[in-house]
Amino acid sequence: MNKKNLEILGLDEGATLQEIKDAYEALRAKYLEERFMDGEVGNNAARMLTRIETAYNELVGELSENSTMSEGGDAYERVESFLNEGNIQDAQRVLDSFNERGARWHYLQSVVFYRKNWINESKKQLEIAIQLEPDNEKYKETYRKLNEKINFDASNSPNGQYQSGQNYNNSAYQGQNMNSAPSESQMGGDMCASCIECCYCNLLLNCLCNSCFNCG
Amino acid sequence: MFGYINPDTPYLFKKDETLYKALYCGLCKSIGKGCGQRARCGLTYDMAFTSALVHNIRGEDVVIEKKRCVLHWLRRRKIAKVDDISVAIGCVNVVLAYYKLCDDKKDGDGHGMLAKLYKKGYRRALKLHSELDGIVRRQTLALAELENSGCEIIDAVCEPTAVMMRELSEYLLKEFSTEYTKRLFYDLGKWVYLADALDDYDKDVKKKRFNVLFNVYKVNSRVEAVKKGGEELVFIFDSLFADMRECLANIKFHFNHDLTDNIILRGIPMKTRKIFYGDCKNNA
Repeated sequence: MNKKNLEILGLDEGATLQEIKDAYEALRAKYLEERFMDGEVGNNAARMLTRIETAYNELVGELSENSTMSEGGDAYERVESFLNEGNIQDAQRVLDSFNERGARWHYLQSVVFYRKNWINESKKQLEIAIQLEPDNEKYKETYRKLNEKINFDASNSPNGQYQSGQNYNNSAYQGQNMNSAPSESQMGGDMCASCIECCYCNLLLNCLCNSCFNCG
Repeated sequence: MFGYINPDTPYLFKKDETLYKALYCGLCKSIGKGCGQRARCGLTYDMAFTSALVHNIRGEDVVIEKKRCVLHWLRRRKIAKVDDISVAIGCVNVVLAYYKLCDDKKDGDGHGMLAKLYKKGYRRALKLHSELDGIVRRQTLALAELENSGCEIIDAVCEPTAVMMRELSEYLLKEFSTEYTKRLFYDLGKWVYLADALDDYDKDVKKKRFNVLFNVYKVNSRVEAVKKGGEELVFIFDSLFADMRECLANIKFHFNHDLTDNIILRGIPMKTRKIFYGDCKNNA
């Protein structure tokens, strides 16, 4: 096990999972209280919180990797069961402990990212999974769904509160995205877009008039 | 990071404009009451939006009165009455503004000096709502750590700000907070961070400050970054908008929500397009 991580938690080589857990929880409780304090103490506590968090995660990851190897259990299934429980942190921890990262690994990582609302990273991982296993229908289906998600339309929502409201039939309240543009042109013109054009017209007209008067 | 949340004014109902302004004035008064006069200057309309959202989800009505205030003593203005929620949001604003000013000071920005003026207000805000400091401080440090490590994952860098907003929403909404409200605030935080990163791109490059988009695309101007990362950025923003729409459709509101709808469904995408494509294009 990583010595530095053990040191942060104040443990020696050969600590058991339970010992690591206890030490982590005791330290966490201590720093959680201290972080509200003023000045350096509070800052240090907040910093230590992140540090013990990482140390704990890494240590438990290492331990679980070892136990996976010795028990021969399927780590993928464990990730899936963590995901079913909604335990994203532990799922990520098991994923981090993998050495070989195949298509299924990338798929599961993509699911974890999705749950964390890291949609862009989720998409990237899914793309890798599809690249590694181009024939897998499940991956492709998920990818299609992910892309569909960004076209979510509130009027289709099961909740129904958006169907009856008068505003939502109005184009003004349909969701907008990066490519939204006015569907019909605005009476009186779009001031902002045409102001430059207008300036140039004035300028040209002015030049023209001036030259005419000069001739006359 | 302030001032990105705006309504799409041409599409804003008059009634909502009145409410929006009254909420803003109400918050200003609340800050004066809770955190002292000096802290009043850091108020932004972002918080008026938060106030509308929180009042509506919690089902607390706002009372609008015609009153005078120090700044506008000639004519009486419509001002939302000070209540617990507006005081709490006022405190959030003061704490956030204080941390932002401290951050600016660290970066060597001139207006970072204002942090001193703010310190007293910040102290008073913590007396009323001590939990706020923990939420903001933890995420500020997490962000600083990510920035120091030169992180190149866009989603990861947005995480602290997004989580901060989520935790603040949990704190403000209390028992009314649901999976969807948390997600909505998470998305809002993420959007604000990204919009800020995109908007400040040129400035950050010039001053050699951390900007996640620069770390990813490694080009010298925003226009080039938009060209290089166009598809990815459009995907990120569009997925955020979609997620906000989904959350909005699943949140139970107690009053009509035209104001917040205008801002989330129209104002935010519009602002993004403005920053993304430059000022004059596509911003109808």
